[in-house]
Amino acid sequence: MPHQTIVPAFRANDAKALIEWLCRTFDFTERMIVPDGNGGVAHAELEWRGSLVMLGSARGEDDPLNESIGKASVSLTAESNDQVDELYQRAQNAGATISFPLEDTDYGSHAFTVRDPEGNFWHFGTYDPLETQTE
Amino acid sequence: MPHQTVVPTLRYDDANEAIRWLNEAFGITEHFVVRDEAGRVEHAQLAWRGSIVMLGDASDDVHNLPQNHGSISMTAESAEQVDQTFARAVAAGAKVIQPLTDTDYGSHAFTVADYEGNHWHLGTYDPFVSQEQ
Repeated sequence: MPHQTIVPAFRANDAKALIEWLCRTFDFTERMIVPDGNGGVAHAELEWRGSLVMLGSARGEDDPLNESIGKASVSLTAESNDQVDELYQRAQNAGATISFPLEDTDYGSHAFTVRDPEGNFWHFGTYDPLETQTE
Repeated sequence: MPHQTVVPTLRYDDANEAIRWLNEAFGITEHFVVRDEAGRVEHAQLAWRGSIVMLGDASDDVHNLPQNHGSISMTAESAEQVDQTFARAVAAGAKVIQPLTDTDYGSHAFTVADYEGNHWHLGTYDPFVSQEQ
């Protein structure tokens, strides 16, 4: 199987602050940051368990991706229940808005959903779509 | 490197129609789809080049997820695939956001919006390959 070829991508009102928040809260790491020359971020690639999200600073009213600000929705596959529990605690400590509290779902996932400071949705769970469906 | 662990999720008014359209426009295929007794989609996983995008029906949205604002970037295997998919997407009625172009960062790419407004970018730029140099 090739590496990830479908990547969530979105804009942020304050990309630097959001990148810092995502790295501190969820352990994303900065894989690539391209400054835009105006104090913002032209392009950022953040890595989590070997997969990526891309984001950049809002580019003004003409930017067709303006509407993606605060509207991204991403599902992340955790490696263990312990990782989900730890991330849930960290998300709460970091002031994330709880959208769905930590639970054991009817499809067997240990999971929660929170929103970051700009409103994007982050779902973490042990359910792995690429493993469960290949049986 | 583990397989994809970061998956975009989308919400459509009619997920069955979205599944059909995304196949027509981009060649994205059904990986795993759960439908209720009435045939309505409860959860769908669609595959493209070994990666997954998830989507569901807005009428079944317990998470109250945003709609019409998804934004996804896909890595093509070749410039020809980009060209073919662009023609295919336009023929399927996609709204062109960024026409087919060779970008300053070396990607052969385009961006279109689907009929509900989600943005789909397809290009040869591969964030994994480019950063290993």
